[in-house]
Amino acid sequence: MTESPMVVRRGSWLSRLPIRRENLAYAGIFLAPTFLLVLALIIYPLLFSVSLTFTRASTLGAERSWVGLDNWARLLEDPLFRQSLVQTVMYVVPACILAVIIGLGVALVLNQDFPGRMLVRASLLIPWALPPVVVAAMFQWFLDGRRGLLAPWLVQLGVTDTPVAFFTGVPGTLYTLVGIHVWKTFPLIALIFLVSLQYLPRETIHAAQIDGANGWRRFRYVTFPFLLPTIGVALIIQLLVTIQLFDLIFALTGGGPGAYSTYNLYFYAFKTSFEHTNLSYGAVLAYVVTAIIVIFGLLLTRGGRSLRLS
Amino acid sequence: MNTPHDRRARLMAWAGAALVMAALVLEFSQLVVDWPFPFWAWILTTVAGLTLLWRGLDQLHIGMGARAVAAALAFLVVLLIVVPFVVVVVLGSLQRPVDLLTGPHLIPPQPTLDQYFRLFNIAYLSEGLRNSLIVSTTSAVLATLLALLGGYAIASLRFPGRRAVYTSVMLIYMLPGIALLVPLVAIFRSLRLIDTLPGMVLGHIALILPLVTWLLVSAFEGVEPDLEHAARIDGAGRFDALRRVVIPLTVPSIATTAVFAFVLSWNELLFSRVLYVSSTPMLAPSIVNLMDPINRVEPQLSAAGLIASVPVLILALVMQRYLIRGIGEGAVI
Repeated sequence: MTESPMVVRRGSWLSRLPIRRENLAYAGIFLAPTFLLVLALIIYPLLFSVSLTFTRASTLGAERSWVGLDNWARLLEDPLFRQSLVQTVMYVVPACILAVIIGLGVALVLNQDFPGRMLVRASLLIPWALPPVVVAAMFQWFLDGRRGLLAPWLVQLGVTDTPVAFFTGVPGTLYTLVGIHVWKTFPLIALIFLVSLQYLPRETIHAAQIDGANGWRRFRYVTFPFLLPTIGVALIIQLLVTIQLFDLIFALTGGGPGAYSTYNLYFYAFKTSFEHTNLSYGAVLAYVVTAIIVIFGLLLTRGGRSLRLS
Repeated sequence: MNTPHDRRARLMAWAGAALVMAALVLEFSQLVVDWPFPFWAWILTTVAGLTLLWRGLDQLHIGMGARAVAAALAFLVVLLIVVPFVVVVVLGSLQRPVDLLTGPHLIPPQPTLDQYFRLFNIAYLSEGLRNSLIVSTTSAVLATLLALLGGYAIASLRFPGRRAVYTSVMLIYMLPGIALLVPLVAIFRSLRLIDTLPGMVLGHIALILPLVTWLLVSAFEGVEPDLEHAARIDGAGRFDALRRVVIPLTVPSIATTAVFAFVLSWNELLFSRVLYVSSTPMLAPSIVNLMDPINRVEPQLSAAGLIASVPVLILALVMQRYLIRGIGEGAVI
């Protein structure tokens, strides 16, 4: 029996270890800095915040006292928690529907071949890249009742009879924020659809065309079913983004007008933790947000996997 | 070429286009002159015109109608995106505060760069700009460097526990910022890291490291394993394989990742606001300060907004091809 050919392995001493051990050693070395940082900045804080929820901790003092499940029990009888939860839904539902419809429409338009489409596609990056606070400042002026441009424009163009007050109504202000949020996020959804449309089987579309299917029927029976998984993914992504809507609320309304009319859960957790300096109850609220996100996020990874396979 | 059918089709297309243009002019001239041209009339005329255009062109050449209508609609989308930004942020920043008294202006009556010079007198704003540049660059670079190693290990080393690491990166990536920030503030306070630049950098790294690692794992998974194996058989260690084979092959992805990290950190408000007490203002919360309803000077706010937008807009412009692909594949939220 001849000796099996052996690959001579050179390199550092690590390379002379058996391959599995070598991999483990390298993985250890390569992952160590990231792991240490994640441990210190993410995992330890998350565990620490579990302990926070069982104590009474303020951002001001360091003293903490054990209060058991009090902070968690408070959720059940906290009307503002319930209101924020309801308002979170009021943000999420229209924001998801609008962004997906507009995003899909824009993607279908940009999927056509016309001169300048690359320029239009690039312009989609503007709302995505702009800092949310700049978007907030921009729409604060644009939509302002006295100094803004849009309200008088709408009157002049005959859309409305009287200037719209974008930032005073309840729940109108919440929907103004939804509108601004959709302006900022629809490009992301459009780009997701646009990439997905590139994989649309051209032969099927051509076959339908030859069979005499008009544009609507081609969309209804070929494109739409093909895009369904992507619509699911886009809805969940938009949902995850909207649940975490914070910047616009913080910069534009501070939670008002009226009694907390534009609070969502995320903003409530922020207010509780850092303005009412109750880190313990804030941590509880943050965990509720996290739970919702993780549930839908797991859905997304399932959906994403099936999308990639298809 | 010149059959009656073709002539009719061409007439239809031209009529449609003319209708759309006429309606557009009639509708928007109302911003200057006052006609009684109701909004619904504009919508109806436009839809009718686009239909004529579509039909006419489609009879001349299949698919041409859809393309023409798409171009028209795309123009509307661009207006929707560009008009608020150009009118409010760019043109608005050139107005004088007194112009606000004479009603909203589309074009500044007497354009001036005055507000930009005044911004330098606001200490927290220029400090915020400096701090944001330092913190965002540092955390983007550090996070990308760390993720080069970590992402490579996860993507191409087969080691026990790899799947667990993979899944936890994804889970951590999804965590909402507030869940991290609440305990981080408590911890940072006891370590005296609050209101310091290192603390700010650490906070931002906590925010972007999971995303960056995740992106680079995906990028490195795309590298042909054979290339790396060839290098390894030639005697390259893992470090060499990473440095000489994997990194050169994925330079665009790495650059895109760093840009994503920078934009995320630059635009971030929550961490920047909360980790700041008095000595480390960042740009985003400083702009919110300017939005204070009592002392607000809109043109000044627009000037500050434009300055804050320039770095991210330039990066978006330069990297647009890669960013569009990265976003479209759903890798970045």
